[in-house]
Amino acid sequence: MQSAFRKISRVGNLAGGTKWYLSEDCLLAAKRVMYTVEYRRFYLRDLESIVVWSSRAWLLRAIIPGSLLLALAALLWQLVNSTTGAVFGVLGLAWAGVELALGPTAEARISTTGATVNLPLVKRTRRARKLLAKVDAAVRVARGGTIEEPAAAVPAAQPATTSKEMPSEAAPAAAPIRDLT
Amino acid sequence: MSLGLFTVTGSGSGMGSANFRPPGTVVCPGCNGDVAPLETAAGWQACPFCEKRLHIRLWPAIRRNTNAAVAMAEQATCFFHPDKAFQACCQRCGRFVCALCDLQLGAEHVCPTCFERGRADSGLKGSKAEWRHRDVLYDSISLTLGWSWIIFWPVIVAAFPAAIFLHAKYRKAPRSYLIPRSGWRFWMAYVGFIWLPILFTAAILLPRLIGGRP
Repeated sequence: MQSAFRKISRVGNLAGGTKWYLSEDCLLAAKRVMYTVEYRRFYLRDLESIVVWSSRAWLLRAIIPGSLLLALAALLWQLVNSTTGAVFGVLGLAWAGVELALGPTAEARISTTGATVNLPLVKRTRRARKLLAKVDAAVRVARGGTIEEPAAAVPAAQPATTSKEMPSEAAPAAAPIRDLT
Repeated sequence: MSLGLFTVTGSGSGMGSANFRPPGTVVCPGCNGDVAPLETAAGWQACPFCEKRLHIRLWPAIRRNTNAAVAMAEQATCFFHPDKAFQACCQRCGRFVCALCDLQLGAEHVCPTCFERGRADSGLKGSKAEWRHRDVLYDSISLTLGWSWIIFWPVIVAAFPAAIFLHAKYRKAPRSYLIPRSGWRFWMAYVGFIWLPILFTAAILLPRLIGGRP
């Protein structure tokens, strides 16, 4: 029953969402849609970069439901009574206030040796620093003493070269190989 | 059936420059410009091109083994380097590769050609099966059946046996998931079926008991 995975983040709601787990050798995304869970592993030794940025739509999350509730409050104030209107008005303001207080929602891009994937790693940008520090620590542990400087050059003859490690003017390492086949 | 849950940007549109970006940089998600990570107090930095606020963590890829053994006279050799000794088989195309060409993607060994093809296919469809694993949450289905009949009560006729069937057939499933779960949802489904009869019984019996009538 004991899992090797440690939950580090959860993005979503009751109907679905993505949970992130960290193990000794991989970062695991468990995306739930209704009654299925799909997993994807990102091996720590393959991880190249994680970029987190704030979502453009985060203000809409506060403005649209808040405005709708305030509009409903005004309507109810006129049509029903002031108490009902006040209740909905407070709800609308509280919604907008909480959303603004929690801060921007986040998006993330995870790059590994083989792929680049857009997945929500954290719900709010304010949690990004702490979470990325955890991942960073895990990557360092997983790689042990093999970690190098990001800008470290890789021999040109090496076919395993990733795009990050190639100088921009250099030809892709796989090109001559492709010609042979 | 694939749900297509994960958006893979790969090396397709919008990521073309990523293949040849300078070392030690990442692609800005806003403008596709090359951004070098900076050490800032808060961890956030602005993209120099579009001013988008980014939090970047960059790790170097592990350096591959460049000491491929030279092949002996009658030894199997690499498909791409005929002078190098065989190290592994590409798990996608079956070609023999040397230590130079043996690329490990997770648990999979691939040759450089398949690796590049995977990048170009924007999504690495060939390796999806290995990278992904899907679990069906039978315990959650059972829990929903146990409580959702309240919305439309005649459904209970089918929901109750269905919940029992799911519990009997998949009772061990939650523990076998990649992230194991306990089986409490199966039992909570039964609570969903019995709480209303218990409530009715209590509502009928309690006043009688309190009133002292038999």
